[in-house]
Amino acid sequence: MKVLQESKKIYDRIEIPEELSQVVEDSIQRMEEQRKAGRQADNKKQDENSRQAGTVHSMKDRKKKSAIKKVVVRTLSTAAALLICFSIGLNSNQAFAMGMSELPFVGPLARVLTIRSYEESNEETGINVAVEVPAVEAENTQSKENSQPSVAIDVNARIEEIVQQHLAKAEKDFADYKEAFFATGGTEEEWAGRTMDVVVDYQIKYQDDARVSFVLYLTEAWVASYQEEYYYNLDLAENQELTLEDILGADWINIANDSIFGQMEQRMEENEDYVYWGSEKDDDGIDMGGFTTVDRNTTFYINEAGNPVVTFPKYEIAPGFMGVQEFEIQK
Amino acid sequence: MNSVYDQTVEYILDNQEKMYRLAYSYVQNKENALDVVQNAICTALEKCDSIRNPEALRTWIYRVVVNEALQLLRKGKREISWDPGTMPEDTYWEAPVEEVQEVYAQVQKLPPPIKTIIVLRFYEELSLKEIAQVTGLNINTVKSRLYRGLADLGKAISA
Repeated sequence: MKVLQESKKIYDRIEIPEELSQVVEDSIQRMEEQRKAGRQADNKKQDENSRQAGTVHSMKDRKKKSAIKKVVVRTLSTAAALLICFSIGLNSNQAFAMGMSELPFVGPLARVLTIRSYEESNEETGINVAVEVPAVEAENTQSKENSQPSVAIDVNARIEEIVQQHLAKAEKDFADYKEAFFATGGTEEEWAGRTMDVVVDYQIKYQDDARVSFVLYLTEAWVASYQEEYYYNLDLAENQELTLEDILGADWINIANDSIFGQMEQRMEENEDYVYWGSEKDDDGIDMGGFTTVDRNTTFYINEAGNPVVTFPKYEIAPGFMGVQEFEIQK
Repeated sequence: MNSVYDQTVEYILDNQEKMYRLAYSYVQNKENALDVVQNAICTALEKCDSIRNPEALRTWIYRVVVNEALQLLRKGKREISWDPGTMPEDTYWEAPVEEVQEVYAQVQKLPPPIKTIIVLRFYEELSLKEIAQVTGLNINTVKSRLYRGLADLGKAISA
């Protein structure tokens, strides 16, 4: 341990390049201009163009001073990264979800729409809520066979319950946090109006005349943030929820497992930072869990190609930085 | 000068070297580290308005830098090698004993999720609680990764 602390000296000696302060100032300056431009909505378009041109230019300047061999590739990639960064504000999740739900469909049997949408900020609790609750609209909600409850109604009820639980849990989490904050000697001044953002949103992944696949996202964001995803795949013509077996056939377990293990290996090969728990022998005896097989509880959605995409939540089969892991299984 | 935005700008200006070192510890070369810092500033200033609690600024900035660094590592395979030759030469500085250099080299080779914990704990000297905030992990996960990292380092060194 002491050796490790000693090695901090090497870390502290990482050379600070001359360009750093210039890069930092340029970046701040550019964001400053962007903010100003944001306030002057009239000239927005024009500003954006000149700003982007300026970005690419100054980026080139910096590159020129440094390693020449990398100039072309690196300039392009950083410029692209910066442009993406600028346009993020334009594509808020909500706008995207709205766009999705308003897509025109030609006489579909089923579709998913926003049944409830609201935003509210509660000054007292410090909780900001933005909610888009989806519901499945189906022509057979008034099913002829009244003996069999409609799967759409059932799913809608479950979504409603999950959303309510999420909102209640978020409120409790934040109240607990606040209580702990003051119990450990935090002052009202230090608390300084902390807030928590709670977001409910959804995304439609696939829909045709009979089938619909969508994801419900539940997010809590404060000091820490986390997101949960729920997946829904319905066949409204058959009035049932789709399983992997319905899509892949009787041999679904082997088909899915082979595909997933193959893709894991490929990804680890392509990216040396990727690791799946259990993929390497742990001789220090720490069981990191990891993927073994798909089962009835394995979550998935259907993509545009109609293939099932098996999903694993963040941390479940891989380190958190790898995010939600998705595997498309060819039918 | 009191808006979160201004505070963020000030913090970045004061801590740019810290940001650079942290970025460098992931990407291991100057060009990429500068890119990470640049992207991190861009992200930080774009999103800082959502911080209601300026106290969290410090851990939040770490988080942004770590995320940008990991993102750069993930996108396109960048070559990462730790080359002791890139260390500054300074006659006033006594090179650490070999064992210490070896530990440092081993830290660089840890898988990113574990390396993050070790670097933040021992090089940036954050508390476990702060590391939990930076990484968004719960504190028990931070602890288990820390122990795992230490165990890996111990093995690598004694081997």
